[in-house]
Amino acid sequence: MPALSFSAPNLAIVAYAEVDGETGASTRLNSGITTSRTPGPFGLGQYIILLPTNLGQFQARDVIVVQAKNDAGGGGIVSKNCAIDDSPSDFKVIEFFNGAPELGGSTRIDSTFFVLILRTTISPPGVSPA
Amino acid sequence: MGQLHFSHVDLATVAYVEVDSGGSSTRSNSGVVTTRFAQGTYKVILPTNLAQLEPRDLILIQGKNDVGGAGVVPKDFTVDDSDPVIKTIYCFSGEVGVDTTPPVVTTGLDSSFYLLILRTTISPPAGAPA
Repeated sequence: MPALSFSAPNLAIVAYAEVDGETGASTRLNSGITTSRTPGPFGLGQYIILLPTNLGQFQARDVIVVQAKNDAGGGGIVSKNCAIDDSPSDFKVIEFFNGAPELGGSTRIDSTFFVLILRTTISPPGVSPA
Repeated sequence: MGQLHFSHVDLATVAYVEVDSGGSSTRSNSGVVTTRFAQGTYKVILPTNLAQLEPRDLILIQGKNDVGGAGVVPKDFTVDDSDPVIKTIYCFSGEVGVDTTPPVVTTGLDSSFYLLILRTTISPPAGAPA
């Protein structure tokens, strides 16, 4: 991106991908990461983004953005939202929830999505982790 | 963005815009046309020379507060990027009690939002579309 004199040099792109909601595969947009869908204890809506070893990112340094997409195999064009667990360095967990209010917000749903992982490159403030 | 040896040069900015709940865009706009198609459904029309195939783009949306729309309330977004020129954004209400008649997951909600469209510039992985 253009280098304006704002904070342009402070964020680096680590990885990006489009992940299929039904299979967890990423055969389209992919900067070079491995993705999978893991049923886990919930059965639906949980995905793993596995970073290359040399791109492991500490929780305190990364910025992750996820955007839900429509899809044939997953939830389609319905209300859904997601939460990210970035505590592991080498993999990031994305979980989707059905947005239907009557479900109480705890029902998981499969969804295709975009993910973009950035990381800061500046020194943290005084009391922050390195 | 930063000059680490990640994939920093692999993403190009295609377009960005702030869309009003009424569908117009008079604020931040890189040069796209925006419209409100139905309640909670918006279309972002790219210039012909910036058309983006579904397997190559990466779209991020962020809901905003707004005067004419729903304001600061629970809401989530899903994007349909199957059309190279027209990207469709769906906003859903997360408000409990908005609609008790199934399927409440299809309750559209007008809302202002930010949109950022990126695209990859690298070759896709083996087996992926060009």
